[in-house]
Amino acid sequence: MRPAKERSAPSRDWLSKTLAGVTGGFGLGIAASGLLVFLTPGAPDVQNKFQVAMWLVPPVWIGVMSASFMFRSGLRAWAWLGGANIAGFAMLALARHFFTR
Amino acid sequence: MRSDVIRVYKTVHTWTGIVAGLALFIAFYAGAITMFKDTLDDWVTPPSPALEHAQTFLLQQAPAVMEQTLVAYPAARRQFTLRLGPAGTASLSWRPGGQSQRVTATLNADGKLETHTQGTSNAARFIDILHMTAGIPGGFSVGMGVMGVVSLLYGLALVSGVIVLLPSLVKDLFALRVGKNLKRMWLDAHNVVGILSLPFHVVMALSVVAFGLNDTIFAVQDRVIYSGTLDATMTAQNPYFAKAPGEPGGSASLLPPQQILAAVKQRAPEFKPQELSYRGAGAPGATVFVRGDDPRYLARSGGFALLDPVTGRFLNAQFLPGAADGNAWSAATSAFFALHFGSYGGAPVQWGYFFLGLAGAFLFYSGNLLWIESRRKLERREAAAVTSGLKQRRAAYFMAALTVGVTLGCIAGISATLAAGKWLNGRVADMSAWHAWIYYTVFLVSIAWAFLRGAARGSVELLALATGTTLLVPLASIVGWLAPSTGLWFEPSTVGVDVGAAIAAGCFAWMWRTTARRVAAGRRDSVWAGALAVDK
Repeated sequence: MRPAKERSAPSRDWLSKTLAGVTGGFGLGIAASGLLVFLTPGAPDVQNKFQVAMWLVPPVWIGVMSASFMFRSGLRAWAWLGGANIAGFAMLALARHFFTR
Repeated sequence: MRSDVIRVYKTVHTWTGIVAGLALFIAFYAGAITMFKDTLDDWVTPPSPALEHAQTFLLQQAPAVMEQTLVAYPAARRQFTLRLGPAGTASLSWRPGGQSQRVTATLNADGKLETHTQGTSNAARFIDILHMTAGIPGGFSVGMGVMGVVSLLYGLALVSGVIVLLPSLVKDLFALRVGKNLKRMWLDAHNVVGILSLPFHVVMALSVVAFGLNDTIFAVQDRVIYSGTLDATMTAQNPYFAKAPGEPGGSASLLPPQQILAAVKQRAPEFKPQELSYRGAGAPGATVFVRGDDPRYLARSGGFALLDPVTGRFLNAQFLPGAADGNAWSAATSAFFALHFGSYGGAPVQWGYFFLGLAGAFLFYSGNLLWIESRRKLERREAAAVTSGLKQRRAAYFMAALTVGVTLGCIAGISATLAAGKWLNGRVADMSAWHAWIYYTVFLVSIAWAFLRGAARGSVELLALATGTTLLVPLASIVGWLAPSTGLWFEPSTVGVDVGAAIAAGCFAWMWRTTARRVAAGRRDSVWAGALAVDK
């Protein structure tokens, strides 16, 4: 952890950070719900699993949107959230490949 | 937490709050009232004079009533409802297609079918839809979608509000500094209500995003996760609609409802059924939807099951509380719904949600107030720059007028439209159109009035309007009690609605008096000062 003085204050970049949070958060919510569908016990179409998978999206979405204002710049927000999305959907593809019965 | 981070979240909190606040006020105020939807329905339903005791029949007679009804009234086949009353009684009713009338059927002393048609008011349903859509025009799904987006902002406002409050949480939480610094007092009240009801607000923010945007979420998930099979899954697992696997040419005669109830009781002994809704009776594929309650469970809509009324077999019992059918996913889904609707724990939770809803409405109102207060120019600071009297910023005036108009217009509109459910009963043909007209007229005129008169004078006058319209509710019952010849009536079992409205009117009257005093004697540099009200 660097001392506070060396860390620059978060820049404003409101539009860029907000858009990164909205799109990145939605993507991560979908990826997380997909991992839930494939990695939890039972087939993807077991009774009402689809409901829980849908209900998982809002908390992830809002959480990521809220966190996006922590980034020091809009560019960093896009880079981190973009990277997280690539990782998330890669994991989803793997999970789907190996755990679909 | 670093102070610059807190500043960022303060900005997030301010702007998400100001954009979402007024729609959320309407949703919470109407939602609190919707907690007593069934009681409101009873309040606007007139007693039927001729058939006062004959409207219900013993459950043993239900098969005969159902059979004769379906023969004589084919319109009832689409859907009819058997509502279970106290002491083994029941009543049967249906809505003829596309009408706001409800037909009740019963047997007379000779065992012949008698029907009674009522033009019932759907005031409670109107208030419920107002709760779901905040009255946003463009149809139900548009309103729900907008509220889903509003709820995303609401979620952001909650997270950012907590972050802003965290550093001073212990110091500020129970400190309600009532005193000269009015803004401090409002901020303390806003904080304490927000923190203490935070779990409730988290539930509401998350669930409304799910309700409002689930079409979008499902569509994306269908492509990314389920490879296009989601629609089939959802149809197969739909707990409301299904097609019973009737054999072609097989019997379509309905079992006596006692046998349906016995089948439900066998699966879930503690579940108390309240009504049976039959769909497609008399044809293959008919279903019966049993709705009821078991307050011990976090049950979706209190709990329900779907059965085949010909064989008595269960079609879907995933949401029947206490039955072994539901898996963990169904239980979790139940909990999400129950936590939003407060459909668990019986009356204490119902009242708890009512007051939490009102507290939420206060939270959004006070939030707007704080926005306005921190943007108004202070007299001493700006006096030098102002030559011809003090002028408040346009934005502060605009938001003040809009806040006063929307909140008080919503309150007065709901009271007026509910009261009209009784006052206009039997006097107008299309009651649902009247409900919409009355609400929107009062609501829009109130907003216009607030802009025309300015927030200060407008708030005094609109509080008088809210008091008056809310008094119309108990007044209708009092007139009905003293002078039944007017066509109005008093129903003792719904006296709670009259008492509640009278108390609410008392609160509005108190606010009216206090506001009038503040406008007359308050600081000259306030947006609430009467002298400046029209000085835009």
